[in-house]
Amino acid sequence: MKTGMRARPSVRMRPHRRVPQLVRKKSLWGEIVRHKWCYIFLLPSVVMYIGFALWPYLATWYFSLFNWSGDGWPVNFVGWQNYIEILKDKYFWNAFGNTFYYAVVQTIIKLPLALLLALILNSKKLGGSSVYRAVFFLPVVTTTAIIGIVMTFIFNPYSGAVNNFLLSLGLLNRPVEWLGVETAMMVVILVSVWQMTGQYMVYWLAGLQSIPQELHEVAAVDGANGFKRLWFVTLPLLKPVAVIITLFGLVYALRVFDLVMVMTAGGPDYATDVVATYIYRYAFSGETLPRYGFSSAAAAIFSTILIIIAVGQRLLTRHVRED
Amino acid sequence: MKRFSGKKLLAHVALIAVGFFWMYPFLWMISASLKTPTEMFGRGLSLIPESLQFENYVRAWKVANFSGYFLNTVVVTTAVVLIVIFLTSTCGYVLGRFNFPGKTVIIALVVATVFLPTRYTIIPIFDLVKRLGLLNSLGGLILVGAGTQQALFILLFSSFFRGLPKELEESAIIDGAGFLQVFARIMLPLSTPVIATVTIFQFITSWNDFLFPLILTLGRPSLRTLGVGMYAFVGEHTFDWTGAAAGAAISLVPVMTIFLIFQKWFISGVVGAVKG
Repeated sequence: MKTGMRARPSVRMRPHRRVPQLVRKKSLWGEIVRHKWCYIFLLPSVVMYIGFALWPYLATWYFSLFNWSGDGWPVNFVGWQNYIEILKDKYFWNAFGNTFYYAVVQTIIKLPLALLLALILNSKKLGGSSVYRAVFFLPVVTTTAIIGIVMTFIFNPYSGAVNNFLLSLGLLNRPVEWLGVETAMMVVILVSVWQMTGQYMVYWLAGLQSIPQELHEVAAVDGANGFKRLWFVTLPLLKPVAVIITLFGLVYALRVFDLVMVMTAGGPDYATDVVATYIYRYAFSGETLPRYGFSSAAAAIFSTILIIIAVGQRLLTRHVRED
Repeated sequence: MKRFSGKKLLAHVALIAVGFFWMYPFLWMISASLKTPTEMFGRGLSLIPESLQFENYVRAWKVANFSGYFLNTVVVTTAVVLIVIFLTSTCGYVLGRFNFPGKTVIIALVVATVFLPTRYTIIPIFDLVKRLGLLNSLGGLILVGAGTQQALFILLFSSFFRGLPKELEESAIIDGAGFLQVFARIMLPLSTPVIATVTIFQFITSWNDFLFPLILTLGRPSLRTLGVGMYAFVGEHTFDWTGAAAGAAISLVPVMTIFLIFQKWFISGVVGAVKG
């Protein structure tokens, strides 16, 4: 009787357990056929992805192993020769250093400036903050290449507004060549700071608005004045936002091309040359026979560094968010 | 109370001063585009022209071919926006709503694009466009514009479609609607807010693009977009500042207008991009 009692449920259970398994277990092919529309929908995106993201990255490495001027397919295999030449080229290292210098200095200036603006605009008592926000954000949406050209006029040594203004105030006694060797990089950086600050101001504002209002009220009740509340409450709470947007800003700034190209084309005397203008010069400028293999080697090195930094940024960002 | 309004006044004065400084390059541009060359090169700092010289615009539009550049930019931007909406909505729909074999691979590929710096892999892209016979054609510009950087839009569509209730398509399927009808008649119309965000962002990105239009139109000046045309113009007419300023105004006013109209969406979209 006891065994029978035990046996019965197990007999009953078996088919129950097995039937759903049988239904659930479908062949992979059957699943693929059932979802055929999904694959049809994905096809255009996948084709574009392979053509304009995956292939270009892999081909950059492949092309970099050849001496090739762009006609037909590369045939003149040179192995690591292009890499050896680049790593010995002081102009590559100059462009490399300039790119990082540009990105770091630009980030160091624009983030505190953007934070200052955000703190002022975040005040509830201040009216019209959406108008100011639009004013500071407007440069972000404009064409960098066009902005760069307008700025070369404004910083022009002879009739530019900057020199005219400083001369009329008596702060200068003769015109300064702003896009000359010594100051060109700083001017390019300042122009990009002007263009990008609004974007980071908006990020800071989003960060500030995520801080609970009660914390400020509690601190105020405890007798903390405005500055103390800023220093001990607001800024520490903004730390995760700060880490995220600093890294985001750096990764973005390391891609600089448009502004340098139109303002200085990397000059004068390579003072503002960045990796993107260096690559452009060897492949497209027409100054010499195109050196696609050599340019590709520079691109492969730098894009790989950028990918590593971007992945590191993602991991760190995730880490910060989980804290 | 008085102390607060004093502070407030001070903040407004400072913000207006800094805001004027911030807007100065645009004000200079508009002002220069309406001045005579003599007035432009004079030492005067005044932003208000003595008389309005609209012929700067006529010269830029007709002689310097900004009319052609403008048309090219409009054609390329419009086509890219439409293609990108097609690509990202279909891809995002499938990723957001179905579990099919290989989905994780596709998602990994989409996320990986975020890390690929396409500006540094221009040589194979240039080479590919050349092999397709699209070098020096608007088709090449459109293809490259639509092919680069869309991961964010795919993720936007996918999370939007994932959030829609299951019953939506179930009743439609009972009524006999197929996969395409469900997508085109039910899902796509519901995703208007995402389509709007994608349109605004892609419009600005395409309008402002410089590197790819530059290298893809090196052999056909008539196909230049506004940024490239402007760059070529100052290279050829170094001293025509008033014409260049007019060209710059022609190029920038459309994006600035779009921004001012869609400001709120734009700013919230930018914030979403960094969180994504």
